[in-house]
Amino acid sequence: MEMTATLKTREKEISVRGNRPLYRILEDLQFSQQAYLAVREGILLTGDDQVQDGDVIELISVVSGG
Amino acid sequence: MKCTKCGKKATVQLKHHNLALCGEHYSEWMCTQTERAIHHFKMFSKEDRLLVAVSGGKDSLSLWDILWKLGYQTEGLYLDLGIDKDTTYSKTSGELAKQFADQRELKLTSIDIKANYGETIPEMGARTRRGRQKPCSQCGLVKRYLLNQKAMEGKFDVILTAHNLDDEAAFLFSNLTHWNMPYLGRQYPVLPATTGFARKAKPFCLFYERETTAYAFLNGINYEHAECPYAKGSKQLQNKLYLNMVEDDQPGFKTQFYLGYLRAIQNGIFPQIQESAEALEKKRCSNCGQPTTSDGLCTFCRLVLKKKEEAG
Repeated sequence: MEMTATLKTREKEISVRGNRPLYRILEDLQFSQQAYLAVREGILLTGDDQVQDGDVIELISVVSGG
Repeated sequence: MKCTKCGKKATVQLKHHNLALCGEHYSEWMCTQTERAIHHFKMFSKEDRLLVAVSGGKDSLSLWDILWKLGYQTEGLYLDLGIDKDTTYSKTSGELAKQFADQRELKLTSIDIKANYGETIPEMGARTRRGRQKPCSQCGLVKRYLLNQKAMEGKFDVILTAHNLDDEAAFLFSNLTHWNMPYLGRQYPVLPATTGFARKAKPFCLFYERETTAYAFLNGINYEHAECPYAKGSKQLQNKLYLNMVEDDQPGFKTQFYLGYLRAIQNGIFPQIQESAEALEKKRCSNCGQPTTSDGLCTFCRLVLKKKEEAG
């Protein structure tokens, strides 16, 4: 079975190819780095942090307002 | 990536400030920058009594937390707007605001709009043509009115809202595209008190939304993550999306956009239009006595009293 990393937002879970920096994954998904914080095991990640296959990353939306 | 200050692993990168910080130094930086903005814009001092508009979201709770840590005299005001729409948005927000205040032994006043005025915000909106789908304009009107009323009654020196740079930039973008001069003249981070109206300040106006969220996360602030159900598809959210797309390509774009506006307003390009004290003194709402630009009732009393008339 192919290993992937999992990105979780409030609305959905996305399987992505890991073993590359977070910012690359967000770029591929066309997610703005400005619009989310990424958390792995309770720790905030910066864009250059490596995401490994098997990682579960929570994406917290930062955008609010009506 | 290493913390610029201590060399430990960084948790927040601030490209537009050319900084990367660990959790501890990031929280310290947020407090220092808030204090700097308060001084720079001459918002208020430690002697002033501050009324913080608390929504239960990341921005208002982070602002209250930082002001509390910095030793300012604050009280919170939470307005229970009765916004649910198949969610528990208002209920949860109110509980989280109360939990936050209790943990820090801060005073929080809560006003239940339905209990006091007979209707929730969506119900008020449903009576108007424009508010039937989305009651955002009624919501803004009620919040502005009650915040000011409570500030005046409680003799607070300043009303604080936790608008961040993304809020300000999105609003500015909208006002500029419509060349809305009266609004463009009133978007400064501090608005002076006038007859019947308390001073207003926005100490978070130079922080990105990402930064206030990171502060809340790193400081264990339990906030309402859900968005107002009526905000979905709003123009402000769309404008934030556009501005973030540019920011991803050009780090610092939002800051430059907003700081450019602040320089423009300081240079008098956008006149700060304000009713004169004399004019405000002449026109008072016949029901509540608050200064108003219209004859008879102010907009808030017109909205609220109409329901009472209908109820007979």
